[in-house]
Amino acid sequence: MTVWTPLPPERNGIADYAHGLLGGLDGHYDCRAACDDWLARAPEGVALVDPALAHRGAGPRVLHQIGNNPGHGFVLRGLRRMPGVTTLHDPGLLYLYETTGEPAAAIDAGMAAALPGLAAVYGRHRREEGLQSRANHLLFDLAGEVLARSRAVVVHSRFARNRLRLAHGPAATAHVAVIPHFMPPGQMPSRGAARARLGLEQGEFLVLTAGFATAAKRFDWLIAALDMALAHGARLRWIHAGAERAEEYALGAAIAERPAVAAIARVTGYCEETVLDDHIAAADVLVNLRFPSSGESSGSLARAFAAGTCCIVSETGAYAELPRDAVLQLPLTGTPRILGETLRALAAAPDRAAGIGALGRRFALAEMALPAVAARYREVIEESLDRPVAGTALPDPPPLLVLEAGAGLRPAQVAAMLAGRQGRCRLLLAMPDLPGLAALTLDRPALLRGLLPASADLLAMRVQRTPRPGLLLDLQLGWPA
Amino acid sequence: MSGGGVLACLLREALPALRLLDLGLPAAPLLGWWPGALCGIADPARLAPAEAALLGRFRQGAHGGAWGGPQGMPIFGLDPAADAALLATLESEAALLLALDGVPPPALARLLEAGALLLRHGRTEGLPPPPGPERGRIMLLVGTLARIERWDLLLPPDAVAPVFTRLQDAAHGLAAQLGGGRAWQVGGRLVTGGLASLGMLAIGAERAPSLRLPGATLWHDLPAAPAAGIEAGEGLRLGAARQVRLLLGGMPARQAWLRLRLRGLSPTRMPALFLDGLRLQTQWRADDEGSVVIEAPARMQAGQASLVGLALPAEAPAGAVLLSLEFAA
Repeated sequence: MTVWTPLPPERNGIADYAHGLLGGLDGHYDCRAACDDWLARAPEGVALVDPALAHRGAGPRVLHQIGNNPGHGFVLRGLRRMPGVTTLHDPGLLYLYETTGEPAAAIDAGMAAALPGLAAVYGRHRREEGLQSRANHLLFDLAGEVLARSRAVVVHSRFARNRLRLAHGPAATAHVAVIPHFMPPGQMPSRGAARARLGLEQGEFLVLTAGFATAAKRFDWLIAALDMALAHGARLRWIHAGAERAEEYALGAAIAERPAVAAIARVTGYCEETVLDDHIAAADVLVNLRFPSSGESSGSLARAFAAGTCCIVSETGAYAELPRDAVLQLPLTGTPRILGETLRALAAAPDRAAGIGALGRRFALAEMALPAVAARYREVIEESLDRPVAGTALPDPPPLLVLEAGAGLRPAQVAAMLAGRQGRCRLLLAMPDLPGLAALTLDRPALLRGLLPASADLLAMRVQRTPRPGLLLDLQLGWPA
Repeated sequence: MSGGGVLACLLREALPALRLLDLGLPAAPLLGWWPGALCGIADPARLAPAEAALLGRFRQGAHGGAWGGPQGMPIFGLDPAADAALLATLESEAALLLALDGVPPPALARLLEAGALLLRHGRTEGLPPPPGPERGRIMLLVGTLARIERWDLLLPPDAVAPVFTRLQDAAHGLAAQLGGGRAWQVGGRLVTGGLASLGMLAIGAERAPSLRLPGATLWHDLPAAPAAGIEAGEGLRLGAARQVRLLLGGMPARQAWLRLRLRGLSPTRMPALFLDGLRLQTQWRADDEGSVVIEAPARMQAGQASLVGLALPAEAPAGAVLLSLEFAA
């Protein structure tokens, strides 16, 4: 079986997930991993293969691991050539499409497929004004292509499946299966040993957050809650075991605004897997808030279950499906106050946190063990083998249009040449010779920006010497602006 | 098609001014033994989309255009605009050889009408003649006594006799270099003025000439076409790239040593070597000229062009130069 996926040392949770899953699937299949980092770390016995050559010698069993960031662009392209089962870790995918050079028309079409009415407005803002908001990423999922090209789709929660079903309809999502996230297969470190390695006192109450610091993880709520708990005398410490992305959420600045919180807080930066495990095992509480949620799952939550660490989550999305005795679920209204009171109470009685953590571990052992998850994957893969997928043939070469260009080339001439066309095409701005082309581009800075209509996306261009000299443009045409 | 190496060596020796367009992809059995050769696909419609996407990545090395053609050409048959540019250039080529397995595509009709030589895999008697002037034929038999490959070289009738003589001389010379009469059976005859046959067959195990290609002649998928400057010599400058694929063409399906000679590496950040997408167990050593040799035992696959991959660690210094690639028993 060929598994298309990022792998460590790539710093994302899906790479860690895939590394663990490959270990579990190895008992069922002879696995190889197609990864665009040729020097990535695969589990022992799993060969790494260059994705560009993965089609050679491939069997019918293919698994893709797709998440919503540019590190999965090669997986999306692989899915188009080698359809198989796809694990959709995040039904969003708009960010993936935007950051991997997918044509604007394809993004527009994907947005329209999910929410036709809203897509007309948001799509126009995006095309004409370059306007993008966080709402785009919440509203439009762009999972349509993955659903159509996959023999089966795996998601980690009923929430994610229902969300897909609402957006794409029952027929397009009939092959979506729910397989829960698995617990990391290795033994988590003991609390005492982890604290000793991290230099933490055995008795202090540790609140932990983990992963990339994004706005949706609601650090604003947590910081307010900690400030409140400290003001009421709670004695605790907060560590964020993860990296700050200031452009997404300025965590350090937010902490600095609350001196009491700043005094007990530390941000570690990105943690390797073993260091992350130490932090999770050392913690009394893992706080994993989310709003808004698009149904994503959390690897750090699975690690906390494995370690028996008490988890506090938002009662939304996939987290709302967790049993109420296995985690503490906080409502989305009034979260800072409730979280502050909860942390103060648990810090005063750490055994209560430990008790909830033990119940969480018991739940995870029953529902999230890697062998059970791998066996479920096998069922889905085998059942899907004969399911047809949308066509994957490469399109014909785009048509070539030739426009006799000269010093007086005007936008209206280009617009007339492109009028009525949609999709890919190539446009040759033919010149008598290359010095003429050089003179034209020197005389008219930003030549193409002025010439091309708003509905035309420039995918590539090159200077052509033969058979006719000129500037050859590779264009993607949307509908008229 | 394991005799491609021998065939290429004979033709290059006998006809040194000849330029090759090997249309034998996805195998391209002559390409690796013909530095600077162009390559392409006679029937791209039969290519699987994933294989077409793979081959579409490659560009000819910086020295590939040294004979006057466009530099950085993509593989023929995958991009109509680039194909048109290449054909326009080749029409003025005095001595051109088209090698393929099957019927020449219509796009090549003008080249054939202009007198390009044709090297076809398999028998050509009884098949419709290619467009253009009347052609004579030299049957070429390569491979081993147990597994003979037949190629037909179609060329002007009055060239058959002199070319046959040069090919026969080349075959005897090559056989002498590669083990002599105990290892090779060489023979041939001029049947008529326009028909000849020549065989150079290995006795026992398959044999192939060693191969050493300057880096600048290699087909690669670096993002930008690198120039071969004075400082790079015959090398391929890797620039800031962390990984590169090299298209070798069809290689004999047997165990061999794959060696890459590079300059500008850090001894603590050695690259990894790949064959057909899979990592090889490599070793490295410094040579006397200040460069580093990365080598690995490798088994080539039959029936498809071999691809070598080179991956540098993220911390490795930029600006390494691939000086040469060697394929040796």
